[in-house]
Amino acid sequence: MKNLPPMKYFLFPALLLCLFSCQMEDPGSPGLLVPKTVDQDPTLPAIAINGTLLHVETHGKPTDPLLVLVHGGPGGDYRSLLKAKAMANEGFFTIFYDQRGTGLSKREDLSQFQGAGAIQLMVDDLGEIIRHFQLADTQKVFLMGHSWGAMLATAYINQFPEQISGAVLAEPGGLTWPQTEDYLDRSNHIKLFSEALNDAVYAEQFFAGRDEQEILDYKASFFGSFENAPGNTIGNIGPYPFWRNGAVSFNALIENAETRGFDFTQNLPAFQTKILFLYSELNRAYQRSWAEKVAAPYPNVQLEEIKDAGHEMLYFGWDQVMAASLPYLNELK
Amino acid sequence: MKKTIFISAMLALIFTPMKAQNLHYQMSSGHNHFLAAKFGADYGTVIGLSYGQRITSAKPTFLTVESSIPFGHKLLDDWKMRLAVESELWKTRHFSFTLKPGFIVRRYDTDIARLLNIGADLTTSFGYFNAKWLFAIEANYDQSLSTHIKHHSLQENYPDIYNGWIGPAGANLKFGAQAGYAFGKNFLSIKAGKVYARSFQDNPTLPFYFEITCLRLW
Repeated sequence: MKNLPPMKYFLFPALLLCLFSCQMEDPGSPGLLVPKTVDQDPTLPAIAINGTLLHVETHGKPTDPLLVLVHGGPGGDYRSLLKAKAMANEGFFTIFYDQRGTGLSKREDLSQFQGAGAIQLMVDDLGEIIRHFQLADTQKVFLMGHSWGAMLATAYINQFPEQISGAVLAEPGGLTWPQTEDYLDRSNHIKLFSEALNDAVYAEQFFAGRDEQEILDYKASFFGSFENAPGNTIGNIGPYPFWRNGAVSFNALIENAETRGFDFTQNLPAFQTKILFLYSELNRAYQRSWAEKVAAPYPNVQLEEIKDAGHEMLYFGWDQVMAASLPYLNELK
Repeated sequence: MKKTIFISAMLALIFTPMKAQNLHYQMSSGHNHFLAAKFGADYGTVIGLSYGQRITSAKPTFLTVESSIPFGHKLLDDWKMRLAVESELWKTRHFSFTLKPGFIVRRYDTDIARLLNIGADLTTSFGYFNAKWLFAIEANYDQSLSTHIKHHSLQENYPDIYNGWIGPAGANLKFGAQAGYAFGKNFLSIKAGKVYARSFQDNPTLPFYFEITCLRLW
């Protein structure tokens, strides 16, 4: 048999690569695969607080009671919560913000999410948002938090109960780390031979080891697909809109919690104001029993099930969420 | 930092003498073709088929074409094809060192986007063998060279998103071990190991690979 130098077999593919290499874009270029953030696009609405630049928008009369929407994740953004703009027509000055380092807010260094004070930084940001928009101490402040956002809202209430006049909490995973870990174990379950598994992880062989946040954020879009795959545990009926996954924020805050844990419940028994606690009918990892367990540290709880929706109830089940929330908020307004 | 240094030191120790040895070269003597079927975990649970043909007899060298697809109800939306040259570069009576450069084309398609990727990889292995058994350690470097992207739902989220070719988006490293048993013209092997991103920071969600291979020579 004729001896063939092995490299000959690679010359043609290598030549092809050289030919089109000049046409290729760098995946780390700002705006190429994920939207530009507020520091990269000055047309986006933003406020500078607490040493960062946050993507923020408001609706309604600034003198009305404040309703601050706190999105999930960590590492999510408020785009899927925007149906709550309707609350502006009901007499609430409705405030949306993308948390530090995620959504269209400015990217921040990994170190901000790694230290012992990382979660406190997120609590402080929420406090700064409230202080920025609150015109007088008598102006009431309500929080509406979804998932991680409901956990963050609870962390805030735990520290500053006197500042909050009421809260709508939609499926916080848990209010302590062991509780959250338990929920994540059940909600992130993926079958080993399912399409959802390769939808989530197969693309990781294409994107690996380039640490620019633009690439990590883009890559996170693929991993996040499992939660909306057919048959998903948390009851989402399809994809929901988002701007950018904050991959660095998400990974670092989860690792931080695994390392340090957290407990947002120590002072909750002193918070006598009624909270509205929402859970969804279709989220098989949540259900009423888990809702009762998570809500237990609050002394005064109104528990409501949102029918025909899963975990992303503020997007897929907004009408029911509003129908449950408005009477509650008006009662405390 | 300590973790990175430790991993780098381990790499330095094991990278020099190693690969992904699918063949038992002693048993391949006198045969010019092989067909192999595999099942394993490689960024998902996968099944695959490979064909190899001897291309030179000076040093045992096979040209191989490998294909694999992950499980799931959409069978051909994601796949990987690899053209490689596997060559035994050095051997003694019981030890063998092989090198396997490869050219990779792979596809990923979901409701989010379709990715068509071109990459290149290099696998080295170093192992002990006798008439029946093979034990080897291996290392693989897999470089993503270029990816063509066509977005679906991500385009709805971000209308200005780029569609087209992007440049190198990173690389993965695999480090593992293999054990194999030869009987007649057949070779059964099992391999497993760890997968890292090139930076050792952005490591894959499934941080390991695993493979059972049945191979027949003729």
